[in-house]
Amino acid sequence: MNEPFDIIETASLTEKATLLSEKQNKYVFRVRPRANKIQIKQAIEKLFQKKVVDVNTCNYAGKKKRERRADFGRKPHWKKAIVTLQEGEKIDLV
Amino acid sequence: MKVEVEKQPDFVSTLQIELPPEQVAKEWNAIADNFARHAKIPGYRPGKAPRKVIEAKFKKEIQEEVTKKLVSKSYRDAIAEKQLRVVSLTNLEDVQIGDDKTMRFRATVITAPEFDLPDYKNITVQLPPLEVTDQEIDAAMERLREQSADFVEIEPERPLQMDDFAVIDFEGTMEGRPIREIAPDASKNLQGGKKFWLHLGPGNFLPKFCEQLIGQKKEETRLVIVNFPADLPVKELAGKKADYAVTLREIKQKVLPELDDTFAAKLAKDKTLAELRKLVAHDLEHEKEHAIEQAKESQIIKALQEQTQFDLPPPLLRNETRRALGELVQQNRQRGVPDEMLKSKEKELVQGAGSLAAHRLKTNFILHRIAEAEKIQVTSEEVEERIRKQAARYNVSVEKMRKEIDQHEGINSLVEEILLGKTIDFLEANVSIKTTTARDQEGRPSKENS
Repeated sequence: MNEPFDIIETASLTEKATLLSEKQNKYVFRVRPRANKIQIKQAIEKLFQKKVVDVNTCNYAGKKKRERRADFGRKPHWKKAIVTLQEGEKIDLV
Repeated sequence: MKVEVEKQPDFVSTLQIELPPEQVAKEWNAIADNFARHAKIPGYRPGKAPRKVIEAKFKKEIQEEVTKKLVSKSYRDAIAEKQLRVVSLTNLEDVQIGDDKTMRFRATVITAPEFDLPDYKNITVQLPPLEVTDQEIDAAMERLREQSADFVEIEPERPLQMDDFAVIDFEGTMEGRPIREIAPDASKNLQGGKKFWLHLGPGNFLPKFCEQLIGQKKEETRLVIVNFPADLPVKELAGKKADYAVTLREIKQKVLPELDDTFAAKLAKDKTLAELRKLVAHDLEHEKEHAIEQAKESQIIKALQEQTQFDLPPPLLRNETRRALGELVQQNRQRGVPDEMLKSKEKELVQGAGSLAAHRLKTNFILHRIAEAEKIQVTSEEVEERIRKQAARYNVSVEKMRKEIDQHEGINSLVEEILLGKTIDFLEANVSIKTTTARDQEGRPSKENS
């Protein structure tokens, strides 16, 4: 389970992520909630062949969703990772 | 812009057109901007998504738009650049937009045939004289008399003579069986009839029919023997002998009205004979003017056709033939020709349509070339004028007429029509006329003989 694609779920393509990448050379990914910062760093470095300087993460609780039958359920919890690349490095996500 | 022209047989040319990146990129950016302004993409507020995301998501749509905008324009430019005489565009294909924003596409067009224009000025035409002679007026008056003739029963009674009108009941039989049964599909007049009007004259109606009725008295029944010719279209009867039992009901005579003021007043209200004559003369003159106009046109076109020789592009010919065929069929249907008959004459129809189409196309090409050589052009006012006229003729509003034209054939064909009409007018103004009656160049009839 330490393959990069197991850890990095998807890139986050939002206005906020776009701004971060343009202004601060930071890239936002959704990652597996159980992955730690070291794993994320290694995965990104392996996947994109870029030097990672810093990784910040934050956990998000999945939203509660009421189903028609079950009393309640929720969307999966997820983790966001903001990866800072070394100056001059760039990832083309689009 | 790079254009390569490849000539193929049958007047087909392939244009390979390549557009430079700058031109494409300009258009591309404009369109992408347009998309970016309205696109809703998850994660972004409308209009806030970066260009890259937009381009990735709407690549196909943008490409389509760019193609639509550039292809028709660059195609026209290419034709102007290579000075091709394009008749129609058959195909636009292989549109490619490369990553470096170059655009390539191939257009297949049909070009007009090349030919040398004959000397189209001073075409000699022979026209009938315009003046209306007294004999013609007399003939027309006579026709009017014929039309208002009365049929009167002959008094006192006498046997049937040639030139009488006989009202007969008759019934045809052949070998003892009624013709109705033998040939049910044949024309009613072959089978028999009641109160049938017959003008007695040599060769009228069935062969030797009238001759055998001479001397018949009223209410007398005679047996008439008819030998049908072998080439009669009704197969059951062709070459056979038939008996007709003919009963004479009435003998009528045609009585022509006297040529006097009462006759004139009957035809045209409160007119004397002299005035009627004038009216007739006026009509005749009109008719003649019209006929002369037409004769002029057809002779000019004939002369042009004879003096130019070139092949026609087969695809165009095919199209035109199809259209002409459709028209012919339509015409025949309106005339009441049954479909089976049309089918049996299919070959002739197709042939007729083919020659008609060739004639039309050739005329069109020649006239177009002349228009080009003479710089005859159609102004927008003329188009307006034409639309107004048509609207007046069909009694609809100008706006509606314009819409109709747009829907049906488009304004282009209207323009072409006007152009060709103008060209013909030009040619008509430049003919040398050989007639007994001279007409000067303004088209005003003049009375002195040349």
